[in-house]
Amino acid sequence: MAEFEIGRVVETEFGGKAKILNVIGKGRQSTVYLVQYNSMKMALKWYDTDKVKNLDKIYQNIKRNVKDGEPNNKFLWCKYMTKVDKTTGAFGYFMEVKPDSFEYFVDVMNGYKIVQDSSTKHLTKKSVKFSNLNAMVMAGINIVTAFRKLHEIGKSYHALSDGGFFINTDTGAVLMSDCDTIAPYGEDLDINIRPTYKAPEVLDGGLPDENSDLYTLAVVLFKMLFRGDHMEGRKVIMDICMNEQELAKHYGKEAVFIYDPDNDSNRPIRGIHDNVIKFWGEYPEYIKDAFVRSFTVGKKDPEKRLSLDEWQALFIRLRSEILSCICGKSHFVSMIAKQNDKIFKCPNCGMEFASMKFSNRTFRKPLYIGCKLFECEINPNADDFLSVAGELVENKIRPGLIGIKNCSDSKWSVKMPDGLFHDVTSGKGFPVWNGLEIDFGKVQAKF
Amino acid sequence: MFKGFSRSVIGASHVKKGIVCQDSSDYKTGNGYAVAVVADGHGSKKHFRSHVGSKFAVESAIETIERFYEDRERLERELTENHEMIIHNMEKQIVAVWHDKIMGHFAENPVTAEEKKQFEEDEFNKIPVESYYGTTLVTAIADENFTFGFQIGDGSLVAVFDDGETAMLMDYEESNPANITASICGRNAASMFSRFFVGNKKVLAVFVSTDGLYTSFGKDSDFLDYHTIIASQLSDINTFETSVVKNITKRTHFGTEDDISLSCIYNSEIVEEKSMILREKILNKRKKS
Repeated sequence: MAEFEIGRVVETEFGGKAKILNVIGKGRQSTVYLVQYNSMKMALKWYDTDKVKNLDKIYQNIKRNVKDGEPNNKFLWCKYMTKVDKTTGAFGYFMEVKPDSFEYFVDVMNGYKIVQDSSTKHLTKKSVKFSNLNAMVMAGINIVTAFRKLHEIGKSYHALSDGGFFINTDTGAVLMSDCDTIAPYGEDLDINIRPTYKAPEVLDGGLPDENSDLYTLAVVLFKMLFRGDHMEGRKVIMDICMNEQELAKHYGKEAVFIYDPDNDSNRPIRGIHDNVIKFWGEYPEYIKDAFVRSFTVGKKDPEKRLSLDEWQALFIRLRSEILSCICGKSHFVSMIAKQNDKIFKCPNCGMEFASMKFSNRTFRKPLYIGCKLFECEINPNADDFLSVAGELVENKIRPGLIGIKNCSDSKWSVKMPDGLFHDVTSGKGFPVWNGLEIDFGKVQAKF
Repeated sequence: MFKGFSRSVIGASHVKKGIVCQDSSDYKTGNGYAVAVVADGHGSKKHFRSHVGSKFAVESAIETIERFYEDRERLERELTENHEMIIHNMEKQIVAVWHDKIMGHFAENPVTAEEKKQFEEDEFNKIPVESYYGTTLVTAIADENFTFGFQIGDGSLVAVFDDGETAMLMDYEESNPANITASICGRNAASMFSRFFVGNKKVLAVFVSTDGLYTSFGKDSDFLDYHTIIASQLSDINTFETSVVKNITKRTHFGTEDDISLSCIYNSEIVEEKSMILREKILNKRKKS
C-alpha cells in the first residue's frame, strides 16, 4: 500500500475530517501518521490490507475498544475509527499523540535514540536513560498497574511489541500503546508479530488470557530492568534462523531462559548481551529469582507465573531499597556493602546512611534526604502504590537537622527525644534520632 | 563463477615504528556465492593483540557465512524477504565466534610481562580482554541473485554493478552515528553494525578495504574511480594482482600511512562480458576531465 500524501484528508467513521501532516512511524502492518483533527493533533494508525491476516477481526476489536473506552488515562487508547475505504477495505483508527517527554521503550532498552539534526540533517545518537533508579522502578510499578487496570476489565494484550509503550525517563510515568492488540481474554486476533513477548502456550496456538499476559508482563519488566532479551543467548545466536517462524521455537517449545539455573546452554554472550550480563550481576536475588521462576517453571506452567500482586510487592521493595547519595549516585542496597546491620555505605563516596526497620518486612529501608515513605509501605491494605505518606527532609532554618514530614492524612504516634510518644498529624514533622520509633497504625518502624 | 583476491600491506607509519601489520584480509568462493573480508586491528596501546583480533575477525566472518550458505537454496529464498533479520543474525554469530576465538587464544596465551610492561597495574586491570584484540570488520557477500554486506567500525565497501555503476554502499558516518567509534571489541558490538542489501542488480565485483586505502585519496569521486579502474582490469587477474599490490603498497605512504587491506570478489562471467562498459566509462571520464 502506498503511503498517504501529506495534506490528504481521512474521514472519521462519523464524518469528521483529519488532515495528514506527516508520518510518525511505520510498522510491519501499518503506518502511523500525525494528523490535524479539528483543533487537535492526533495520531492515525492505518492498516496495510495486504499485510494483515484478519482484517475484519481487528476492525471489530478496535471498534469494541473504542466503544468500551480506556481502562485509565495511562493508555493511548483507540478513540475513533476511520471510514472503511470502499475499494480496498482498508481502515485505521485515531489515538492521542505521545507527548515529547515520553520515550519509545525500544530506545530506553537500547540506551539511545537516533535523532536528525533539523539544520544539518545529520543523524546523531542521543542518550535515553532513566534519570535515576527511582524513575526506573516507578516505571515498573506503573507498568504493573497498567496491566492490572487492563485485567480489571477482562482484557489482555494479544501482541505487545517493542513499540508498545512509552516511558518518561525522568518520572517513570508510562503510556501504554498497541491498544488495537488489546482484546478480551480467550479471543483470537491471530496477529502476526515478533514472538519475543508472547507466552509459549500462545506461540503454540493457545489463546491469550490473563496468564499469558502475566508472561508478557514478565518479558516487559525483564527487558526494562536488564535491557536485553530473556531467551536470546548462545543457543539462539548459534542457530541459523531464517525467519520469525523458525525463531519462534526459541520462545516457545524450545525456549531456555538465559539464566536458567539448570540449563546453561543459552547463556548470554559478551559483545552481544553486555547489558544483561552487567545488570544480572547488580540486581538483588529476589528480583532475579522472580525472573528465573517466570521463565523456567512459569514458562511451562501458566499457573506458576508471578501474579500482579507479587510483581507489585517486588517493585515496592526494590523502590524502598534505593539509596540516593548526595554525591549524585544511586544504588540498590543489595549492590552495596553494609557497614554493619543497620548502616549502608555509598560505594561511590563512602558516605554512611542509617536505616529503618519496619514491623511488616524483613529488609531495612535506607534513609537519605528526599527519600519517601509510600502509603503502601505503612498501610498493608493500601491499593495505592504511588501516594507519598512521608518524606525525609532537612530543616531549612537549621541545616543538618534531619526530620520526617507526615504527608499522609493519618495521625502517627512518634517516640520523640524526650522518650515519650507524641501525635504527629498531617503536615507536621519530627526529628530523626537514635531512639526514633513510629507507629503508623498497622505498621510500626524503628530507627 | 565467482573468483577473488585479497591482500594486506603494512603501512609506512607501522614500518617506521617497527610494529606489525594490524590488518587482515581474506576471501572465499563457494557454490554460487563469494565472500570478501577485511579487518583493521586498532593497533593502539590497549589493543596490543589487535593483529590477532583482526585475523580472528576475518576467520569468524568467513566461517559464519559458510555456515549460513550450507543450505543455499533456503538462504536465498529467505534473504529476499527477511534480509534485515538474517544479516543481523550473521553479525551476531560473527561476534560470538570472534569472542570464542579470542578467549581461546587468551586462555592459551596469557598476557606476557613484555605486553604488560607498558601499563601501570591499575591501568591494565581496567582493560577488558576483548580490547586487547580490538578490530574493525568489513564483509561483502556476492551471490548470483543479490549482494549484501555489513561492517563495524571504519573501512569501505564498493560495489561495481554490471551496468557500470560504482557505488559505496555503506559509509563511515552511517556506521558511526554521533561519531561513536564502533569496534567488534566494544560493549554491545552486535548492535553497532551497519548493513546493506541489494536484490535487484547483478554485481560485477565487490571490494572491501580498510580505511588506509580510503584516506589515501583526497576525494570520494577519486576513490570510486579507482575501483572502476581496477574492476576493469579483473579480466586479467595476474596483471590485476601485480598492479593492485604495487599500487596499494605505494598508497601506504599517503594519507594516514596506515596498513591497507583490499579484498575483492567478482563474477568472472560478468567481468568477461561487461569489462568493456567499465573501460568506456573510464575513457569518457578522462575525456571530460
